Amino acid sequence: MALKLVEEISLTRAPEVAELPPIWRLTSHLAAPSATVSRMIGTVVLRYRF
Amino acid sequence: MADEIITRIGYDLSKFPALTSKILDPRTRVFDIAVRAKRLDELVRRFVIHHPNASCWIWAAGLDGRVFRVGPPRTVGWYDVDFPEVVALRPQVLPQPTNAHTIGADLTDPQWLHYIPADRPAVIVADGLIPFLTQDDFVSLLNRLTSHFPSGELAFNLYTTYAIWTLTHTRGMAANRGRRGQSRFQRPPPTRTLE
Repeated sequence: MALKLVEEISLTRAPEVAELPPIWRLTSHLAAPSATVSRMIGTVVLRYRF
Repeated sequence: MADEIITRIGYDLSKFPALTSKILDPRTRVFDIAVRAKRLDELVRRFVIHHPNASCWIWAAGLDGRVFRVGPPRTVGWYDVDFPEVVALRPQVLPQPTNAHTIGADLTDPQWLHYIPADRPAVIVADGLIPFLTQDDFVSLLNRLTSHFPSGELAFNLYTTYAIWTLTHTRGMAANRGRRGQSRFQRPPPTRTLE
């Protein structure tokens, strides 16, 4: 049985980013549109189904 | 709860300067850990709502109190898995709900899963586990997992290359290297799973 990726959650897009200090908020907002950049600078949570 | 546990066991948090530093804003220090834990809690909660007979497996549970945050119904079987010496400490600092169990095992040992019931859909959380396993060990574990359980979901957090480097090279994260040893950190798992 194989694992199927069903969700990728980038913390750069988390609503909680709004509570961070301005520099981190800005960094996250700049990174958020790009999945690749988000993976480079922030934590990613993956959800697989099997 | 975490604060109570730290006080009770007398753990020296100064081993993690990144968490105790006065330079970083407290919100920044805990953001990744707290928010990823929250997301993982939400995934488990959602799974349990759809599968009230599920089993929940928390790999490398440590002294994590996820079972209290998620609050699963009694029909759900909850299993916190970690090294035997870690799970031995849990009952001393954490209350044990009746449907929650601890399993002392090395996740890289292929034998432990043989004794685990496989008759329910399973949700598995590996929060902060990845850096402690080699890629080969992790892939083997996933293969055993998908062969064992009838169906389910697996969720875990990835680390950036920079985070792996930090874990490997900085004094502030030395306490994290623990029993696995530094050599285990040399090969980060692939982070580009989706394009």
